[in-house]
Amino acid sequence: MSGYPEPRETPANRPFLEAWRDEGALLVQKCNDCDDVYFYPRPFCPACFSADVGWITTSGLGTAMAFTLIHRPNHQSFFDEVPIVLAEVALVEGTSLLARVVGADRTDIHEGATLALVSGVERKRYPLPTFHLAEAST
Amino acid sequence: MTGDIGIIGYGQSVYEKKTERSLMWFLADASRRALESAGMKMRDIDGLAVGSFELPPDNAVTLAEQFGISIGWAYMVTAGSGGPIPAVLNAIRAVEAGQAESVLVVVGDTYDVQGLFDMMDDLNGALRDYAAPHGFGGPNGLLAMVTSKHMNRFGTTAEQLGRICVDQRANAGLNDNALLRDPMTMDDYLSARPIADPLRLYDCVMACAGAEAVVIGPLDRVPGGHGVRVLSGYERHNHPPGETVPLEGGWTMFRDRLWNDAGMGPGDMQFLNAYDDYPIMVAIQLEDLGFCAKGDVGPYLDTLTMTHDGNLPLNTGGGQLSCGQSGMGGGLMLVTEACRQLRGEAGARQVEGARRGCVSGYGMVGYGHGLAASAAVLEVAS
Repeated sequence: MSGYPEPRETPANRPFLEAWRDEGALLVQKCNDCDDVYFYPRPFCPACFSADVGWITTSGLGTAMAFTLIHRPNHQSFFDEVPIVLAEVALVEGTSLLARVVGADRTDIHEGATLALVSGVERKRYPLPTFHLAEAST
Repeated sequence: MTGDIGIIGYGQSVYEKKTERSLMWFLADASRRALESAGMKMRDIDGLAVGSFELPPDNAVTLAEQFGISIGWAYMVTAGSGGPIPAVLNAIRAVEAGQAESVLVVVGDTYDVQGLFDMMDDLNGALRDYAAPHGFGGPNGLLAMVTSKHMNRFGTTAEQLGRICVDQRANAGLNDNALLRDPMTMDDYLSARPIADPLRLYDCVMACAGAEAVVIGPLDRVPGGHGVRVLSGYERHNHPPGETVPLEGGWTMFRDRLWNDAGMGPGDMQFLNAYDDYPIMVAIQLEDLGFCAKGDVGPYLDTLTMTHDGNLPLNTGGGQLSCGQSGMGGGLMLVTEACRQLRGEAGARQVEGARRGCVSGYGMVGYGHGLAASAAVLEVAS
């Protein structure tokens, strides 16, 4: 890790954090009653409030619905890496999340860009599932 | 609401970019000025509502102890800067219900810029765990995405949004308590350094120390022309649920009731004080409150002059973009500046003949955007 702020691990988000840390996978939750797919982790479904919820492993592919290049991050651990590219990522599986996009700059990030999870040793420096441009990785 | 109870005093503390003074000092300074404006003493107050991100572990009851008063109604402002307008509405209802005779509503914080950044990394569980580890840039990063999405979806331009900032700065030039008073041109606005694309420096509020306060009580307690009646008001939070970067907020859920209750519409408003943490949120409030249709705010802004003497005076004291953002206090500054206008006490920035206006709050950044929305229509009581 790189001194970034860390998420607080709880029983509610442990499967999500472990899957990223150990396998580089992005897990989101799915309601067993109403099939709603949602992020961020909660021990109940925000659509129908059922307590019967499970986890699905996503494809790790999504679309940038909105993005920004942050020149002044909150935490000093990011200061040497500006601009930080942050995106709203709509996952193929049907929910959206906020995520960092690495290896992109203002010339190639755009709304509608296809994003994929970073993999291999590179991912280990990021505390949460992190993306790069899918075009760049092929 | 019966219309007999309203806002009978208002006050704004000193604003400071960096301060050595305590939060309690600021809350007391704003309260003292609001009481003076109402012609009252602290011992006349028997209900207390307080809003401040920095207040815990203190609360409304321990604040009563600090202020030396015995109270029959205690209320903590929630919903960040979307919360002070609901606090005013609830205080009116508390007086109507007989729980208190006179309520002091006081809201403020003492953050500087770094203090705000630190606070945002730990504002709530979702941001702390799922945004801060990405280096999300606080509200700057999130509202940059709202701005960029609105631009891409509707063709809204930087120049159109910039007009909000430029006109408000002109208003601030007539407000001695605004921290940013230097004249600003469109070129200044467009050439400022980038903060979080597409946001530049003057799109982003500057955190500061300050507080705002109002006194709620029977309107006949103050002379004619000094009371402010709340004709209607609503709050709506977490709308639409489940969206990360929406282009609308809770205002759409109560807009029709807001105007119907008041018996008037957007075109009847002589000014609008809309929560201006970023110009895109002013734009979205203009859409969601019905001043223009969704997506049409860019061309609509082209038709507006938003200075105090313009065709839609907006944030007549300069707004937070020019006064500074006193944490949660920004949500009540909308109301104190409205009272100043409606009482004819706005000096050089007075909107001529101002008798009614709209205030609109927004705040409580959650996972992706501000969750809280509120608004009220105000009219001077003769």
